[in-house]
Amino acid sequence: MRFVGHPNLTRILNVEDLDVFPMRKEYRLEDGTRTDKDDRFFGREGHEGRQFD
Amino acid sequence: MQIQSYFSQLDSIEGELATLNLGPTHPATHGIFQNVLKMNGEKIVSAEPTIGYIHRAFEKLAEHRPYNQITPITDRLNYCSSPINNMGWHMTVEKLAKIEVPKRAQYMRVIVMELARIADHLVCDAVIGVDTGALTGFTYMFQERERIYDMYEEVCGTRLTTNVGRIGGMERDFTRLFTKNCALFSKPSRLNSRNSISSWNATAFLWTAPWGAGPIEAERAMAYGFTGPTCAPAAWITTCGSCSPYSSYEDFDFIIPVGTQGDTYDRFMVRQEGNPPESAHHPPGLRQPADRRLPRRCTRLLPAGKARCVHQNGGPDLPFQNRYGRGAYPQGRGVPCGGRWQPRLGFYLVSDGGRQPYRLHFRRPCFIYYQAYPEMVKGSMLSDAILTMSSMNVIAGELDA
Repeated sequence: MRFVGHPNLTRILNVEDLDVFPMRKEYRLEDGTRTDKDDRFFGREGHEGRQFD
Repeated sequence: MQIQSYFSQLDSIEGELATLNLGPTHPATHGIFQNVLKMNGEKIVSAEPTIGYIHRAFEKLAEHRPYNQITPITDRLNYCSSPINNMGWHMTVEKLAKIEVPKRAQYMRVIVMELARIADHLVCDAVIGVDTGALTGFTYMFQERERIYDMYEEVCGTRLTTNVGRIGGMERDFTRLFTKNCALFSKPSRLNSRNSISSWNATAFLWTAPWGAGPIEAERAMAYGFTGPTCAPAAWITTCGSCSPYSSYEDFDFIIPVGTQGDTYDRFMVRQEGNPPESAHHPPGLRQPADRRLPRRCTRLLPAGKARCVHQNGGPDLPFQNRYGRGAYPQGRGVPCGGRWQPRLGFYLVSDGGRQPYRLHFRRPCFIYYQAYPEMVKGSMLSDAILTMSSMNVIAGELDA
């Protein structure tokens, strides 16, 4: 995402030297050992749990 | 060693200027905010706010929760007006799922939202009082807020993080006690009692200090996207209810007060002046904080009917239908907002048809105000800056989400 003409574009929330973006979809919220949050239960396709990466 | 050098660097004096850390934990900031101020004596040269001290990644959390379980997350945004956040969220999902909420439920929501707005304005103005040194008014405020919280409890069983209402309406109908309390609450406030008036007025500081503190022009405020009392000077009536009414707000008359200068005094008075002129029998000075008669008027006008919609399948509650099926919610987007002449809270919801949102974005008004904070306090005294912050009603929970 690009912000054109922003007067003061600074980094917020994350610290300066963090080079990953934890809000992205590729980062899972739950730990990988949980099996109760299967996509099937959430009305989505796929029967093998959430697919990451 | 490193930490020490870091702090000594912050405290260093560069020529005439000093760097001052206001926050992150300071009693005067009413929350976890940090501002790195460049000070010239007691004047602020520049301010650099940092955010995120209580960031809980609500947007990310919401991607992993069913719709009805997101309501408690919204409680924890602006926890001074949780019901408004709850309703805003319900309306978002209803807009997405094209649910028609029964008229009765809409009126009930107006009542609860009005109570929440009054509670929020009470807190905010009382806090401005505290920051000018008028602590007594603050204690009176809590008496009033307890009455509102008692009513919340009657509606939903909780007081602070309310989780009130359900997608499709309200969880249950009002009780008799609620209606009674609502009627009692509409009567003149004990806040107007001589004691609290004299307490607030005696603090002459309260009537002088906010003058000219943290001003912002109407155009700037609108450019930033200010809404609600913080946008006092702009007469920007998009303060919800009136411009794009929701939940049957259009059925009621109310006055939206506006200021002229856009300073802290204006923001204070706008919250106070929610009172229509016909109730001017109250003593001058501290008037009723808001039009507290609307909830009662609304309880009298409550249309008959159900308090929540009944799903076509005859099921009780939509979120619990199709729990494990695809297509519980249609794909699409919904963006309503909560609150009337409250700041405008918005939810941007993207659904892929699943039980949880694909993506949910909160438009948090606090986040928007806070961006203007450096501009508003630049060149002012430190004490004005603290006052300005409390008048902006920046709630850390909402700012950081």
